Amino acid sequence: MAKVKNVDLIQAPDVLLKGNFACAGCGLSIAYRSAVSAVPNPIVVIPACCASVIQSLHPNVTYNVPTMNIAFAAHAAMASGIVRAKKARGEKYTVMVWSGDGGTFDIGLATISGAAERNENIIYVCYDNGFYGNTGVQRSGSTPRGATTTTTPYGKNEKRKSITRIIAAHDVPYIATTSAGYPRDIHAKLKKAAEIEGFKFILIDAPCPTGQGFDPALSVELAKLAIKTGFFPMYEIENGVLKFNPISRSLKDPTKRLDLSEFLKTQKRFKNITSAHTELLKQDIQSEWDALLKLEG
Amino acid sequence: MAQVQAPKYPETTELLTGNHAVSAAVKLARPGVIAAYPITPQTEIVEKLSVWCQTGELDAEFVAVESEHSALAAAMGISLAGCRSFTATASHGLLYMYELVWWASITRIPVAMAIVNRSLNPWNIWPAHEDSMSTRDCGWIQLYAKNNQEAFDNTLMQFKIGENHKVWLPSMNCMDGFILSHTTSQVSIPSQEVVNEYLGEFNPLVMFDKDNPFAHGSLTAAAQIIELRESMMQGLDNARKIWPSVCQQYRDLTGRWYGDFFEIHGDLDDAKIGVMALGTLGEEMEQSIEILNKKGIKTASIRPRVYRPFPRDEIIDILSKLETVVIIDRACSYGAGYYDKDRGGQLATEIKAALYDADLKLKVVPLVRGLGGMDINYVDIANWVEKYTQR
Repeated sequence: MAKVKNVDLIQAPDVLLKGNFACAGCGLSIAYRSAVSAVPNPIVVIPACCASVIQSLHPNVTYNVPTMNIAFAAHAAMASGIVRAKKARGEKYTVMVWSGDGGTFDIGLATISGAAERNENIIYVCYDNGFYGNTGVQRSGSTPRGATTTTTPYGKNEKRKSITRIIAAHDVPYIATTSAGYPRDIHAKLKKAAEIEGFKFILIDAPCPTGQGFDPALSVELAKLAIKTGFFPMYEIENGVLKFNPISRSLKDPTKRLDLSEFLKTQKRFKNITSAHTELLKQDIQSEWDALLKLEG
Repeated sequence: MAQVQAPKYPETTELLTGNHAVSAAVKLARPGVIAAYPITPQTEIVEKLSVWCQTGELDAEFVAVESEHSALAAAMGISLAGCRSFTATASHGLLYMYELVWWASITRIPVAMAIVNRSLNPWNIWPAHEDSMSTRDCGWIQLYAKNNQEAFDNTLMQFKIGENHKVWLPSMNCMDGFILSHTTSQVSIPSQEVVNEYLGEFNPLVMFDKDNPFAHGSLTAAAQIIELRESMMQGLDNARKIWPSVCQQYRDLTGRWYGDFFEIHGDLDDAKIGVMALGTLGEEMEQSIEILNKKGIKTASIRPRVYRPFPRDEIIDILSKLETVVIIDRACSYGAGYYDKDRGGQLATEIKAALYDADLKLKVVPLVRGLGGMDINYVDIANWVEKYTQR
């Protein structure tokens, strides 16, 4: 993976324009700017999610690239149609889906599975804040155990879905996780994905001050804590072989991770987490690491 | 329907099922990419196209999507990316893509779709119009074919009308399941040259273009939504105006013409009674009126070919010559009518509204028949007309 420098990010095309409707501290906006600027000639398919609102009100558009807004569970199929048609026309574009976790983990899962199984030449990017943000913070399949949302007022009882392992079971060429705390990493991974033929899936941890309940100034710091506590591991799976990125590789040993409480205490959504849920959450995190280790090359 | 003139170019004749007739027409229309999902009784349309895409007989890609919802999503993506686009479905497949059916028309994406009419559930695969009627409000152009030849011809006409830049709307070509889709008849097939002349290359009004980025389907406030909806209404009005030329140009090239909005049999000036139905019942009616006229019950048959845009002025023009019209709907809007009176068949309801606006005093006999694929034929129709008009 080519190293991306700050100057590369500064010189990258301006894809997210001023006047967008993002909240202060929005992890999605960092992710979008870093990601979409990394690929040649993007066409971005956006289902129902915060990104479709951040776009602002017609006739204004704050994305400086061809954008398709579409219904919730249609994204990957629409992207499949676009990429095949552009190929038929002999025109070179990078066709992407840009979706939140709701449209990825839950309602849109079938259409992602179909596109992955057909190995469609698209980059599917999920920016993940762990709940349905656009409708006001309801639980999703991505919500971690113990987190408070409007539909889990006493903390979610179920384990977070491992979307990357679900996609990995489709044997696609490239899967990666990255984080809004690491824009150069986002940029590098999107650049890499754009050069691979076939279905690529990228999960971006995108902290959300509004829904997770923290000072908007701390988004990047929170993203880094998510990594350093092991809550969100950073890795790539290429042709079925998993490789942790350096920042997470050192954390394979749980004793090397910062205590999870460092992460939980920063967010209102974990303010009243029970000790039972905390214990289970720790087990969830470790069992995900164990499952990932099994995929390691 | 008689050949009104010789075709401009020689045609071939094949024995085809309704489904394969549609496949043959789609092949000639040269779509760039096809996305589809199987469902009885449409499956053979897409199976055939899929095979042709893989043998190279049709130079197009086939996206074997994982659901009908995805089929329409992909078809919309194909169109916006700049290729002619086609899909097909029926019954619950259409219901499954329902939100996108609205999306395609209200955001103006001209997908062409074949609907092989099939009853809605509990599991029933046989013909009725509940499926296509449930989408009549969406703004799609809706055509109804009476036989395999018209199913073929309508396929080409739907691309023609939908892609007109003054219309730019998606379209449904409806044909009765099993009666047409699975029975074989002679179909005249124009040459590729004729179809090229008729349709031309796909010429998108809008297309994703890196040099001219736009967002399609943005968050839109009320005033602009109203603008968009009004624009769609104007598009449908334009479709009404342009449709006769679509049919007439087709006649010039192939010699075939069914009428523009209606196919009429019998003598309208002499008849007192009209009978109306969509699809294959419309062809049955042609036989029914022979029985009735022999009995001295002067009847004409009026088969609407186009349901959307609804040819309101044209129907008034025709009905103003009659005293009674028997309308047979193969679906109804449940709750719109009464079990033992007017049952709220959609065609009947819309005709009654048109008659009211035109202040025409016509007796309307609305019948709902043939639900669930119940087999009804020209003898039944003749009996009903006699029963309900000769008391």
